[in-house]
Amino acid sequence: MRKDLLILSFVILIIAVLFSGTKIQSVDEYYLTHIDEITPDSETVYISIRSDTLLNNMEKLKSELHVYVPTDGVILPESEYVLRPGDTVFDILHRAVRHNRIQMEFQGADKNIYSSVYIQGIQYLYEFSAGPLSGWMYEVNGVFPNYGVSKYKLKDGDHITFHYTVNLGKDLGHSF
Amino acid sequence: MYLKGFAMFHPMVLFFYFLLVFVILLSTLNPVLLGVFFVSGVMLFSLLHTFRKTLSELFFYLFVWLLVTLAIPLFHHNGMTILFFLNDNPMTLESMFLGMAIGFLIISFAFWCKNYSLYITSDKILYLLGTIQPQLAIWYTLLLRFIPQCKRNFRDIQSTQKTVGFYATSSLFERLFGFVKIIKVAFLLSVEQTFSQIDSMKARGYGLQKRTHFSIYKFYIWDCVCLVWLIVIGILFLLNFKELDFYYEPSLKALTLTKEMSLLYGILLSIGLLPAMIEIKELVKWKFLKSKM
Repeated sequence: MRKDLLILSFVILIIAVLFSGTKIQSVDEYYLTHIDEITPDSETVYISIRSDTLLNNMEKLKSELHVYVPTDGVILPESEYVLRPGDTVFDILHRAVRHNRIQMEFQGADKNIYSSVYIQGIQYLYEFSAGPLSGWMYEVNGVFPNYGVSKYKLKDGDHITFHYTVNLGKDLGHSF
Repeated sequence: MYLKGFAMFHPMVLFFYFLLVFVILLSTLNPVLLGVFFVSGVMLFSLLHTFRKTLSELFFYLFVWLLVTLAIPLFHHNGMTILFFLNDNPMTLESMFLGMAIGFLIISFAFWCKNYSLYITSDKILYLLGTIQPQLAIWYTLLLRFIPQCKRNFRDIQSTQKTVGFYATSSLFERLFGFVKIIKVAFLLSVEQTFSQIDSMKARGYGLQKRTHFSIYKFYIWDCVCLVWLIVIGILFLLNFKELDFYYEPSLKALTLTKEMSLLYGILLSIGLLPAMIEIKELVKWKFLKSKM
């Protein structure tokens, strides 16, 4: 009985791995992304990743994560990326973090009820790392959209900023 | 099964001992503490069972450990050292270490639960909670008894029905439905027995506050010493919890073995090894007395 359950769990594990696919890439292969050249007539957007709010709330952050917060609060300074047709905020973010080799973990769009990608953590700073109300938020041209990153279609010249919040966005001047 | 020398302690001491062990084991993933409680748990188990039984248990749990170690990195992607990318998700060394640690935690917990059920028997729970929480005590003991009773009922009914000719058919489905029917009957019978047990206990005056109960347990001086020692260790553990606590992600906490920390680990090892030591003492005594005769 006990042994049968164990064998069943192994079978489920193997099936899960086989079904979700086994695409194995080395680290360099994964980070080798194609970045389009910026030409005068190409559409571009700007993206930056910041963790300023943590600088004032260091006592809330887990002590082992203090080393991962930059002293000036800028994880990715504002940088320009070419906007491909149909690009969402998530596409640009994914391209930017791969290009700059910044660690990021996200929940796929098929894994939650909002059918949008959810950013769990950037640069080892995860949701709930600094208290129960903490996590990543994004703004586009100074506005915090009320929907997911992979639902927001971008247009030429947009400014995206990712912020780490410790109080559901209230510390960023945003309220629902 | 050999002697159970550690069971000579008062039930309250035993209860607090296992409570403390489970709290220390489950509150942190510190690799040293995991090693300490794994070794002491398996050692105590091997003293109470045959060598063969211990080996077969260890063999089974080896595969449980392997399963957990392989499964955890599929869900945890946090970590500094990336080995490779599987479906665009990083597989990290840290999450593998986390998986190993959780595997060890599960095995140690399983072995300590086995030891717990040998020492804290139902009568001890009834003695401990009988006067303060009679309802809880009776439910706990009945719950523990329910599944073995269910199994026994099933075996009884099945063997009886076999002689009557219940399974005497070549149809696979008829036999299958008969099997399910017997499971249903055995389950319902066990539930009924549980409720009639409660009624009979009530009829005999169980749970009345003014009644006194006979018990064979006495609180001796060594029980008192042991209890004080357990409380001291519990306070020591709580005071040093910040240093003892361990994290695996994003990068492993450095394990510094200062003099104070090694002393603390030694004290915690002594609490893990206490029952095993007493069992060994009893075993030696038993052998020694036997050879003299």
